[in-house]
Amino acid sequence: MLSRVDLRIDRHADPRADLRTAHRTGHRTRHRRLVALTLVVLLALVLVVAVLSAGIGQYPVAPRDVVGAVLRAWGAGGAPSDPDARFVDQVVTGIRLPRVALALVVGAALAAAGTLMQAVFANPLAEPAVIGVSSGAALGASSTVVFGWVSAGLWVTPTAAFACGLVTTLLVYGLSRSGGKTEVVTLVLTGIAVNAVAGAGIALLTFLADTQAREQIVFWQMGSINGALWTDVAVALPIVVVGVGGAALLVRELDLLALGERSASHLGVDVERLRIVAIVLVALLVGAGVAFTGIIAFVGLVVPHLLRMVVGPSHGGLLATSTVAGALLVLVADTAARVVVPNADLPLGLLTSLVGGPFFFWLLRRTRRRAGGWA
Amino acid sequence: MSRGGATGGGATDGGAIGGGATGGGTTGRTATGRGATGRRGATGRGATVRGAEGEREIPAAALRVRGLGVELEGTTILDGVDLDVRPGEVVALLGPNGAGKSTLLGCVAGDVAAARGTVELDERLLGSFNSGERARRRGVMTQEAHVAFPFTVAEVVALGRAPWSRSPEADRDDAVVDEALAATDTTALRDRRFPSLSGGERARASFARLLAQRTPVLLLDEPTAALDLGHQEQLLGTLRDLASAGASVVVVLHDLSLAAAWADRLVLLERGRVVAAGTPAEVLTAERVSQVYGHPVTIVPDPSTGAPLVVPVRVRGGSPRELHPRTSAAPSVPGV
Repeated sequence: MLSRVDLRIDRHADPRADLRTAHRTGHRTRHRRLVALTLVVLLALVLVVAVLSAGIGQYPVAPRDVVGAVLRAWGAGGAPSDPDARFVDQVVTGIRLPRVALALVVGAALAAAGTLMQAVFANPLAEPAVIGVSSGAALGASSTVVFGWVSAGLWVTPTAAFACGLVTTLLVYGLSRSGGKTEVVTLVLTGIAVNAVAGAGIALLTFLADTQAREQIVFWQMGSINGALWTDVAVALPIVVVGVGGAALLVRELDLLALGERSASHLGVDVERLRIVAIVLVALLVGAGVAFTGIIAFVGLVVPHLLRMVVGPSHGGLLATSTVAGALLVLVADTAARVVVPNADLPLGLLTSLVGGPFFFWLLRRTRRRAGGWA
Repeated sequence: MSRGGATGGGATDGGAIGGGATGGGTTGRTATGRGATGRRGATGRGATVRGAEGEREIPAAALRVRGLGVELEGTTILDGVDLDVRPGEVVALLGPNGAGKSTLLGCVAGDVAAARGTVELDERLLGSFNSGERARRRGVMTQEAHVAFPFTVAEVVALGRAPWSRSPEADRDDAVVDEALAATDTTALRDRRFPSLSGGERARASFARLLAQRTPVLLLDEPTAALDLGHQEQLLGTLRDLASAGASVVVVLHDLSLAAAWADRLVLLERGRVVAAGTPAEVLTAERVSQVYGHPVTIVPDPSTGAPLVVPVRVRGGSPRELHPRTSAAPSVPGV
């Protein structure tokens, strides 16, 4: 067998090599620092906004009291004797914090799913809601309510959302690819078709459902974190941890996939396996999000796009920062949904679509301009 | 960059690169009778190699294709193709549009499934390698250079190191990337975003990525299509150096003269079959080229190296076949 030809230069043979290497190392370190700095800033913002968000509402609580309530809930100091203070603790830890936590978990899931999906489609316009995966997951979740399966346990709805999300993702993937590439037009049109079919399914379920189930379906279609419980967080969090953790293992291969399928496989990526794993993870993340909060569109589109501008397209840094930024964005949006209109809880999906829709359009125009029209 | 400059740069790299050559490389060099700098004395190179083959020890082919047949949607794209590429060799695949060059390269790369025949890499069936093993043995430069997200050139080239991650080789990633950038004249572009590059710059960056992969077998599909004259010569010169250091190179080219100047052997394809294979002088006869390409040509020797130069017969305002009876003697030309 042919031994691998050694074509290496002794680095010290060229005095410039050390300088170049130094330059490069500096470059790489700068990139790492940028990612780390972005992460620290985002995490700090998450913390600040979380405390503020738990204090804002019909019954305002000072940030100091929010922190106090959290510490007391964790067992630092006994329960306050003052009934007012006890009420504050209940509002903060029983109602507001689960909502904050679920917003963070779902935001992280959606942004991570968007990052993964864009990498797999090699297309910055891929987004779970735009291409219909969220609708598919919502269809699955709705059916568990309408057919009464939901009584079987906490995991039924997320499982159905995951299964239908998976089928939809595979379908979109299969339908929108040709010759190893996904054209923007094909992707968006496939999304329209899939959204239409899933929408028809949801409409049918709404027609079949009783009043209570109907309300639940409307909730899924509009997307809201209202009424979040700690039990929701307890189910969603492990799913999202698995999803994001799994995605983190793929980042190197996802970078290679940006070169196109053929080139990625020439560089040793088992493209078929990578795709399947990534699609399962996307369905897992979207399913977890949709099952508890309904369709919250465009988070997976906007967040990775903005972070790519900040930390570059390399998927290691992008996934980490997008996950945290997604959590932050959904928390901010949900807080806004609670307080923008006094005494009303706006559907969160409405807000994200209001901002995300025009953003998507802008991105579409930009992509079109760069491509010189649609193929 | 002038040709002299490009070649000079290549020779420097080649010297350094060749210096590290191990077993396979040395054998390859012996077989082709040429050292790392030997390509400067290119006159009659192909013939010498050919003539020497019978006498010298021939290393096992790094690539062996036997009886390859490919069908796409009921159309036969390749039929009964044989190809051997030994360490130390640059083999150019030639032929008119649709002759099956890219398909043949795709088969060898493992992208296209063959209906008949075998492809062996290092005397093992291509299909028996897993994708990682394959990526450490053969690198491929495809025709289109597309990167989905705005990676920098340095990042794209560094992706070429992926097959060596988690191996001792990974320690040298930075040095290898720098060297690949230097060899392709893209050091100045290292921080530019890949999608913002021109076609030629993308091609050079993709070539740098291929170089960074450091494989003993290199497959390139029309790597010079978007390049200017200087960079065309530089690219072929670099391939030549790599071959001299023991690599096996298969390159699809459209420029027959370029192929004749730099390749050891040419394989001429027409409608999925090999019509001629051998040294440039053997393959590029006026009659054969005129016939295969359907256009009369004359072959003249390169004034400095003697390598065949293919010159299409060009006549303004009239059919060259009528005005040049000598070249129109090519039997394939209709109406003569």
